[in-house]
Formats: sequence, C-alpha cells, structure tokens
Amino acid sequence: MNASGGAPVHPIRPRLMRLAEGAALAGGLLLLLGIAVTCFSVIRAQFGRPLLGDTEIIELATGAAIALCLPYAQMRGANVMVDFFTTRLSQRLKDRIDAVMAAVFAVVVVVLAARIVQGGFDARRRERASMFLEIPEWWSYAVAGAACVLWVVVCLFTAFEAWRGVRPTTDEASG
Amino acid sequence: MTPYEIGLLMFAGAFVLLMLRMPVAVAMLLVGGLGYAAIAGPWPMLNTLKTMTFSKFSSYTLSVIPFFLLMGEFATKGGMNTALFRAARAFLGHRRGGLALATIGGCAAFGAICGSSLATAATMSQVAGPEMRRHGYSSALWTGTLAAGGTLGILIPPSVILVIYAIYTEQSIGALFFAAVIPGLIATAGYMAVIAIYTRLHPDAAPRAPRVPWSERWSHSRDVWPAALVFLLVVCGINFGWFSPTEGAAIGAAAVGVLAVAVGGMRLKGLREALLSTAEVTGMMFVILLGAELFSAALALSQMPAELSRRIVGVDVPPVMVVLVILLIYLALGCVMESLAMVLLTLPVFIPVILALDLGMSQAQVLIWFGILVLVAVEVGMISPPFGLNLFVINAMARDVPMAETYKGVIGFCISDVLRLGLLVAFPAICLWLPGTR
Repeated sequence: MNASGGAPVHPIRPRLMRLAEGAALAGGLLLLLGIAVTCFSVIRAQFGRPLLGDTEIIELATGAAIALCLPYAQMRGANVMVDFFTTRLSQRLKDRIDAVMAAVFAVVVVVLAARIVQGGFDARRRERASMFLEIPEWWSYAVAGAACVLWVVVCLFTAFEAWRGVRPTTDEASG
Repeated sequence: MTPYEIGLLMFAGAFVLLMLRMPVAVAMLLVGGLGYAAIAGPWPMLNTLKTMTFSKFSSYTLSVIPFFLLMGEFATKGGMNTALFRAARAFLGHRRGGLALATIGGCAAFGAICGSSLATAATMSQVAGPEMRRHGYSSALWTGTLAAGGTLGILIPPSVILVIYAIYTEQSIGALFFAAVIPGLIATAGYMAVIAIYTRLHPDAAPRAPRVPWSERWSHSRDVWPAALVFLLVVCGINFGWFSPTEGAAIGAAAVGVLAVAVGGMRLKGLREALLSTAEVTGMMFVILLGAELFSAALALSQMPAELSRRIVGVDVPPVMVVLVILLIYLALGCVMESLAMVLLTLPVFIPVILALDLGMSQAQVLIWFGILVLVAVEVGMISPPFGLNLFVINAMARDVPMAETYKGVIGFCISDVLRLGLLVAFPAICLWLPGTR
C-alpha cells in the first residue's frame, strides 16, 4: 500500500490505521446496538408495551459511535474539498497548500476535542444522566473523548504526512 | 463592522478558503467559529462548541443518517445490486441499449434502499459495468449511464440529502420522501429516454442481447421482492407515522442486514467491510454537519440572511425569477462542489429568502417543493462535467476509459436533468400531490 506519488508511507501509518479501524469497528458495533434497541422497542410498542427511554440509549450509543468514526474517516482522507480552482498550480505548490490546510484542520480538531473532553468532565461533575433510564451521560462522553484524542493524533499525523508530500488516497488497501 | 457585514464577510471568506483547497468541514468550522467570536465574543463561542459538538453527534434525529448508510452497505454486501440488475436485465436486456436501460432500472431499484448517490454509482458499476463492457457497449454510453444512474440513489427516497434538508427546515422527513417519489420516477423515465435516443443516433454503441423467456423473467423478478418490501415498509412507514424516521431507518437496516446474511451470504468479512465504509462516510458527513451547525449559528447571529432576504424581496422581480436564480447558483456550484457541503453552506441564506417570497403556496408546501428542487439541482452537479463526483467514481473504476468519453456519455443525461428541473419549477404539484401537503 502506497499513497499515490509523493514520499513513501511512514511506518506509523499502518499502526495508526489499525487503531482507527478498531475505533471505527467499535463505532459500527454501537450503531448495530442502536439499531437492535430501536427494533426491539418498535416490536414491544406493537404489543402496547413501549420501551421507555429507548431514544436515550440510541442517542448515547450513536454519540459515541460517530466520534469513533472520525479518526478512520480522517485516515482514509475522506474529507471533501474543492480542487477546481487550483488544478493549474504545480503539484509541489498544491502539496504545500494541502499541508497548511491539514495543519489548520489539526488545530481546529484540537479545539473541538478539548471542548468535548471538557463537556465530558462537566457531565461527570454535574452527574448529568438521561431522563427515563438515568444512564449517566459521562461514559458516552468518555468514549467520544477518547475517540477525539485519537482523532487529534490522526490529524496531526496526516498534517505531518501532508508536509512530507504524501497525498491522501482513498483507494489504498485497508487493514 | 456591523453584524450584517460580518455575515457577508463570513460567506465570502468561506468561499475563498474553499477555493484554496481547505476541506469543506474545516472552512465552515473556522469561519463559523471566527464569525461567532467576532459577533458574540470568544467565550460564548467556546461554550457553544462544548455542548454543540456532542449534541450534534448524539442527536436522535440525525442517527437516521448512519442507519440509512448501513442499510445501503448491507444491500451491497448482500448482493442486492446483482439481483436487482439481473431482474431489470431479464425484462429490458433484449431492447436496443437494453443493458443500459437495465442499469438505470437497477439503479432506481437500488436507490429505493440506498440513500447515497456515490454508493449507488459505485455498487451498481461493480455489476453492470463489466456486463455492458463485455457486450461491446461504447465506453461513453456505459460510463455515462452508470454515473447518471447513481444519482437515482439520492433522487429516489430514502435520501440522505433530503433527511438533512428536512431536519434543517423542520419539515417532515416522510413528507419529503413522498414528495421525491414522482420526480424520481420521472428521472428514471427521462434517463431511459436518453438511452433510447442515444442508441438510435449511435446504433453501434449498444449491440442487442437475445430476448429472455418469460419463465426466466419471473424467476429473476422473485429476487426483487425483498428490496421492494423493505422500501415500502420504510418509506410508507415513515410517511404515515407508523414509526419515526430513525425507527424506520433502523428497521430497514436490520431487515436488509438479516436478508444479506440469510440470502445474500454476507459473513463476518462482509459485515466488517460494511461497518468500515459506513464509518468512513459517517465520519466525513458529521464533521461537515458540525461545521455547518457552527457556520449557520454564526450566520443567524449576524442576521445577515434575514436582512438579505428583506433586500431581495424589496427588489421588484417576479418570485419565480428568484427561485430560478437560486437554482442556477446551485447548478454552477454543483460543477465544483460536493452536494452535502453545498446544501449545508447555502441553506442558511436561501431558506429565509425562499420563505420571504410570495409563491402562492403555504410555507410547508414551499419548503417541500424547494427541497425537491434543491435535491435535483445538486444531483445534476454530481454528474455535470468537469467535476461531477459520480464521473470520478465511475472513471476511477474504468481506468482505461478516457475522462472525455465519460463526459461525452453523460451530456444527454444532464440535459434530461435540466429539463426535469424546469418541469418541477413549472408544476409544483408533481412534488406536492403525493404527500398531500396542506
């Protein structure tokens, strides 16, 4: 597996990729859990016994799940951008611009992740819990926070890669 | 600087950053964050971010998006793309350009269980691409057909773009899904007409295949039933309020998942791949959604959209002209931008404008009609040269086909799209009749 042109792949990439994949798979399993709970609740509602607070389970599960998807999407270079206006620039200049943009991305993600982690601490301190089932919110924040830390690492790494001239590619073999 | 000016500046700034290759999500987060801080101060901005980020991820209504994405992935891994294409081929294959017609039919059917244009284009091209190539179809025809067919994935409900539009405008997801059904069928018919005309003009582009006996047709059409039932259950169930959109999407995903395991032979490897590709698209979409949330919150603070719509309404032009101008902007943007980003970037400004116009319809009717127009307009962007995303997806799979061939093949479909858009502008009833919006 090699990125399309540019510098060779850094040995950290496969390791980070495994971590990101693991997180994404965990997120996927949480999504499956959300789906199962929803179906269970709909079936119970048919017999007049709706599951009170099913939406809370789904919200907390998908909240963590989506955060767990972020590092993987970043590793795969799935971010959408517009390259229409810069097609005529030299590849070298484009690489440099992309490196700057990747660095900005990393900074923005650091701020976001810090806010999520802070939100998690708030939720823990105030013992915020869901309304019906009284599930504490902080565990979902904790998973999301951990995922965001991985996201930060991945963003810093992809910014570093971009600086070295490795172009993100989505058709590399995963795993 | 007045907040109005900050709002205008934000909009201009976001576009400049986008032109400079900044990822869409970051551009919106950065500009939105700076704009918010400029108007309300940095601490309110950081405080908003603290709760907004996680509440966006853990939103019950938005969870419908990963569920629908997973449903489409399961359908692919369960081989529904193959089943649907084979069934369509059994009925249409012997006609002139039959395999291309069958591709459009298969895409339409797959679009009924998949909410994404790229996914539909990618998954159908795996099946239909090699078939058309093997039968000696011209590369312009087969790549163009696949790119255009892919857009039926979002034109025919369920559709991720419609879900996001519905949540943003606080309209019923079910009503928007229903509103998209007839335009989606017209799109399918229009694409088939394009193929009929194209193959009449270039008879050697598509050799005929032998007729398939009826017994074989029936046996193939049996494979279509699971997909049809899931579509009816999900789309009708959501529209008639049997269950919430999230519940509908979860039931759909579970049903297609079970079918994929039981009938389609999906095993752990397939499940793993389905989860990973869902994760990739989900991650990409939610960063953009997050950016859009901050961006539109800052724009709302600036009051720029409200002010702008007051000024536009003050200008003496027919309301339909304003709608047409907006659609032209979408068509132009669509040539260079990705559809979801484009919609999220523009809705905060366009929705107040549209609602301020006197179009002779109720507010709900205007929003539903406009939603379908936006859907069609951004979808044209998916296939319009030079930068339509579907063209790249298809062309990446057919590496030996020059891009120019794909451009040539897709032009006819683009024309049919624009004609359909005109039809929908002229006759809003095409969208509004089925959901029966008051």
